[in-house]
Amino acid sequence: MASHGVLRGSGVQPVTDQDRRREQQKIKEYKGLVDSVNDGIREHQFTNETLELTSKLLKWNPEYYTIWNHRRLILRNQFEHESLQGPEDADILRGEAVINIISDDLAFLVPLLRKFPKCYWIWDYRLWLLEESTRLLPALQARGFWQQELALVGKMLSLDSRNFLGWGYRRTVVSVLESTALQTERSSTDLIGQEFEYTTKMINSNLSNFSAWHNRSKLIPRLLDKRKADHGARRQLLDEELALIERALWAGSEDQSLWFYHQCLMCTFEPKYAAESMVPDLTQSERLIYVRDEIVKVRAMLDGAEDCKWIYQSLINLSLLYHKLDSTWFEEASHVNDYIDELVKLDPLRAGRWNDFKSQTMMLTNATGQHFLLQVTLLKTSNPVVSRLLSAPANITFWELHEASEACFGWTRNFIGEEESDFPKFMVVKGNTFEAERVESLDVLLDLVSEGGDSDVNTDGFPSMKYVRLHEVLNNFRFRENLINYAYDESFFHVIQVLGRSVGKPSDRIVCLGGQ
Amino acid sequence: MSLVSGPGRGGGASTVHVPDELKLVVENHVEYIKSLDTRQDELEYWLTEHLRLNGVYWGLTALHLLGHPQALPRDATVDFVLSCQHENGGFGAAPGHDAHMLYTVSAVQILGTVDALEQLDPCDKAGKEKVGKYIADLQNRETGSFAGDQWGETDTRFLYGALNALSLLHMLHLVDVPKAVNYIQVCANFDGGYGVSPGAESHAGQIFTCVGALAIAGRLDLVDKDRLGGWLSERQLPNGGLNGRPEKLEDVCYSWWVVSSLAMIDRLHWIDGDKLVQFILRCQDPEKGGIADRPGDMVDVFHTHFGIAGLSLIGFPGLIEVDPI
Ligand SMILES: [Zn+2]
Repeated sequence: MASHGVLRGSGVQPVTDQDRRREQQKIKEYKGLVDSVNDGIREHQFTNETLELTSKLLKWNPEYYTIWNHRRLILRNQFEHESLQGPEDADILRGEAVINIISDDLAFLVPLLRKFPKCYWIWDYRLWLLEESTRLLPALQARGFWQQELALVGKMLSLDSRNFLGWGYRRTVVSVLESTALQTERSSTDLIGQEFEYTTKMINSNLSNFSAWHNRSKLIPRLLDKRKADHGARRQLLDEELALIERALWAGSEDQSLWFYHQCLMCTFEPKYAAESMVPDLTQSERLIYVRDEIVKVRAMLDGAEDCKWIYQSLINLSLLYHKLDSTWFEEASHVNDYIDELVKLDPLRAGRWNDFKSQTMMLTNATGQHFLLQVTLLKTSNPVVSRLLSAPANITFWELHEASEACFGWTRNFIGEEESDFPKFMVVKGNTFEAERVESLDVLLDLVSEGGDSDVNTDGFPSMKYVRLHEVLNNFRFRENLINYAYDESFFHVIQVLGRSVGKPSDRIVCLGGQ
Repeated sequence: MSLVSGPGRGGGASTVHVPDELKLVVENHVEYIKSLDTRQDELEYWLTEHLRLNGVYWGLTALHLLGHPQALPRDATVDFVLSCQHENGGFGAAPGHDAHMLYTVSAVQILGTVDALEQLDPCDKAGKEKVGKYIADLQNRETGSFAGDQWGETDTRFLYGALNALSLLHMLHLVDVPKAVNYIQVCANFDGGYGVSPGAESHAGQIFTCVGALAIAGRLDLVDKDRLGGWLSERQLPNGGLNGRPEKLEDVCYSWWVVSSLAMIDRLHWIDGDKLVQFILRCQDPEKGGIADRPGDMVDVFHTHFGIAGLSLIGFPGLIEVDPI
């Protein structure tokens, strides 16, 4: 009734009379089998014959949950029967009989699990059988049964490394083996450590295994508790995991499993989740350092992967996290709006989500009070180089900056009333632009967008350029480490370099700090 | 999930844009669902008997959403449901099948949909109280979790089912709701999602059950909505369909589980509704009716129901609004 992945028209629709007869024959056979099983149970015939009939039916239709319950009733009856047998040597004999019944039934299930790995009822029944072993047998023998399951489920997961039921089963088996009911003198092995290694193995064979990463995230706190790890040991494991995920992300930055694991590790620094994380007792400033390091690492991944939405998303989340830990302005915050724009462009399916980000990040990107420390160098063909150091508020326009720097150089001119075409050409360029004659051929990196519209101002001295504010360009992540170059009056080339950023009292003054 | 009972629930944006060549073939779906119980000459009919009661629920709900609530005869439906009930109050998938939480929930939902819950009371069968007690007795009073039946498997699906059915019966007081809420909290993961049991991987179906249970308990405040919404929105693939876990294929049934979870946490706009609508419509069998898991696959009533419920939730025109819980 719920079919998955079956092509339309591939079903066995009876076409000829012969087909129809064969179908009716099969229905008769099936219903006959169902009836004889149900009759047997109704009449309390908990015999091997009825058991055989349930086997036959379950092989045909393992989803028929009632039949699994019938099978349980038959086995329960057989277990009780064994416990009533023979007064002498009873314990040993009884144990052997129970062991045989359980072994046989576990073996019966293996081909069924192979054939129907996504059938809940088979896995449930198998767990019930194992629980019966715990209930009826001495810990050592029951443990033996449970122990074997790790190998079985390992095989199942090697066939389908994402089998949801398989991973769940594996976790249950491990927790039972860890439980006090099954402890014997010989059971001191480091099971959690082994499981942790198992996830490493699965991840190494395929990075995109979200199930394995998930299990790893759940095992780590238990592993650390079990080993009674101190602060140092916890931090060491954290550092190892951060290094592991960084390597993995370099190999597969488009892989969402990896980013979810990265996000999970970041919970260590998140006040809301830190208490349950692997290192619960980091100080606020230690967390800040970790987050800052992550921002640097993730940002580095952008190089050559500018179309990878996950990087932008992570940088936004890290910026929000940083802000939670320290509400003063920090450099990365200024890029967050640009990251959101990139996300909307790269991932329009989730545009609604990215736009919601904007309200969250508003407090990050507020440039009020921010100042740039700028060096403006005037390039002429002759030496020495003439330059000025300016402190400028982030929200002044390039026009105002231009006027101010002209004034600093001592060339005050009145522009009022002049044609707008006098406005210089500003360009953001990569690398060394100190060779004036090559300016025109340099790579232009940034499209400076004017306040009013979407015009490109990268190559032409657009009049609207007048209204572009410093922070719109200098805080754009694409600007990073680059220079602004502008030409004025044909022969005067200026290079603007950002030397630093600071936060102070809101001020609209441009100050000339010095020059040479 | 139940049909919307009053104004102000369910529904997303009502501005769904669909290309003209993609239409919801309402009449064909109605005919398809009506035909389901006349297929006794197919072996498949008998092999799926363990889903009969769910099948009735899926078919019935789909018909109600399509605006054809009369297409299945009401009395026959009620009779069939009551014939699945056991002495202990629980329901099996079909007459003669063992009682189980899953089918007991379906039974209550069906009776609720056709407004026949009162028929549990007067007849010689167990009344409403007995149904409520059957469900309540399956709660583990220490952990708050629920078992599926006397054999004891626990799963957050059963917990959601229990709260859903008990709230329809107005009998939530029979169970320890705060304990159940605690249990869901233990099933939460760092990605914002929930698993089938403590420690289990997040899965869209299980997220639906946990968020749905929290909604019934009035504790949606416990959900990390941005984190969960982020994980859920990443279920949408470029073809518009949704998957249930990272790196899995899209499938119509997740249209319901993911979308209703997003609706419950007010993040429905985090996916592209138009593209999802188009994907679901491409999964229709335009001639014989019914919806499949993916375009071109065999249809079934399960995916027909979840496809139509998904469309309703996105605000597809002409469908009855559905309550995301
Ligand atoms: Zn499906």
